[in-house]
Amino acid sequence: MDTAALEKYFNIVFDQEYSPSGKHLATCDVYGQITVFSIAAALSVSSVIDPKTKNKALSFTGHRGPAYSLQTVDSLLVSGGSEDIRVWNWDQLTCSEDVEEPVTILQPPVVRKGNPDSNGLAYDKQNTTLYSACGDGCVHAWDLTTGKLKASYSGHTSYVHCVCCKNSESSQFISGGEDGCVCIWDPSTANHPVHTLRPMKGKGEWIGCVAVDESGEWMVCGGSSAPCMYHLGSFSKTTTFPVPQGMVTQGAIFAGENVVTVGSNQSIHHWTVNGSLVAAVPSDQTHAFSVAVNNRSPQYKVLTVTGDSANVSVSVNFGYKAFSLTVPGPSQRHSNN
Amino acid sequence: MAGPLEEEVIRKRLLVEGDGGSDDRRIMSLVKTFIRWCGATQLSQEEREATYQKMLFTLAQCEFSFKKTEAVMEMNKREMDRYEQLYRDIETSIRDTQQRIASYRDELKRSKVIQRHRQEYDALAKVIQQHPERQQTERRMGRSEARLARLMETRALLEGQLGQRRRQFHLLFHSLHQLQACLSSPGPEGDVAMDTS
Repeated sequence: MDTAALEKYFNIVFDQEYSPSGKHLATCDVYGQITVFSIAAALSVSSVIDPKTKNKALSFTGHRGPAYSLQTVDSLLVSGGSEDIRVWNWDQLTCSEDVEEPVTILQPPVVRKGNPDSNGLAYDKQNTTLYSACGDGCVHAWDLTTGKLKASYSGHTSYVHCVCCKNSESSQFISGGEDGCVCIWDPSTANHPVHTLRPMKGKGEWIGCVAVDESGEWMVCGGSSAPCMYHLGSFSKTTTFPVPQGMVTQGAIFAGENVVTVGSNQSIHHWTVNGSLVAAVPSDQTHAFSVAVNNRSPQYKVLTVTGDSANVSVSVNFGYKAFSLTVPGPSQRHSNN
Repeated sequence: MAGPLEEEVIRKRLLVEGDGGSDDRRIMSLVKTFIRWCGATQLSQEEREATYQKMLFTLAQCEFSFKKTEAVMEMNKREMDRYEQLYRDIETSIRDTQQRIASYRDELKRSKVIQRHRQEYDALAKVIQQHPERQQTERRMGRSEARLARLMETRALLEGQLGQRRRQFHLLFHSLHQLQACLSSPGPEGDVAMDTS
């Protein structure tokens, strides 16, 4: 079979992240590639005239295995893969033609059980700490100035899927894992979380995504059951978003005054904070893995969704999809060079 | 290169000719008729009168024509003034509308924040509703505290009673031991008065 032709149809884009200026979008996929698109070029008038300029992207192999998560840290891009975490420079990604070497490689510690894959990344600006949700059940904290592991927070009984920082004032962070627990940690206590929440009852439930809003008071978490919203001050579950039965939620964010969730039923749901559906927008991907809004640049404020397709859907008006950016497959890239 | 020059020439000729050149011709013919009339001595009185009338008529025609052109020019000037006024009015209204749009946009942002707060309030209110009222909880607490106080009293009472029984049994055993000692020691010294206090 022709792998190049098949690769056009098979790609899973796990995560996405915007550049510090908001003009570029980086995605990471199951082939370990990191692809950088220019949102500014895709939204400009010239892309309407010549559609090929939309898909112009810098694509390189960042990791040997799949790359699961991305995080922008000041002027750096951190990508978490199945073996290690690599740090790249955004200037290198946006200006040069090809990228060979990462700035640094962070190696998670050797583990007894589980894989060292970094499923989720989050950055705490105040403490300049990068948190990685690891497949060995721990959340690792890295000091990016030295590249060393600062601490490991173990409390989950299975792998950790996602991590996010509470907000700019508090140094606490929240992680969600395969064991169905959402743990709230304080950086000073590494052995047990400050608080554990169990949003879903039943066995085999898992948490796929957590997100906290700008005020740090509200948290939305999703996974194998319906996503729900917690008020962090009182640790009480305030709303459950009524998604269709059996739908799995892999990505959730706070976008303006609404909450946006994506998952396995091929649509992007917009909800109000008290649980009513604002819009269900159909998306390209059958199973979406991440959703993001470009808050770094008011001029290029788009909503992008990635998932089990080589296409990244981009919406300018959040009510409908505007266009798609295509991530090139690895053999396609090599044939173009 | 010759193009713009040609255009200038054509434009000048059109301006000069105006209504198609009939005015020019009329003036020329009037002048000719006048000269002929001045120099014509052999014509009869009626013919001279007739020619004179014809000249007056031609003169009137010329006057009429130039008055018409003057009126048209006046009209054009007034039209232009009106259009300029209209243009200024539209500009001011555009500026006003832009200001209003900006203020509405600010209001929209504020309303969105307010709506978000209301929704958060609603969500929290639902959670709070699930808990019982404060007064009810306070009453339950009061009742529980009263029960606790009563039970403490009962316990103190029972402990007092238990202490007393313990002391009574202690006395009984002491007496029994004394009696045993009395009975086991033989002889008249044994008949000591029993301590029956």
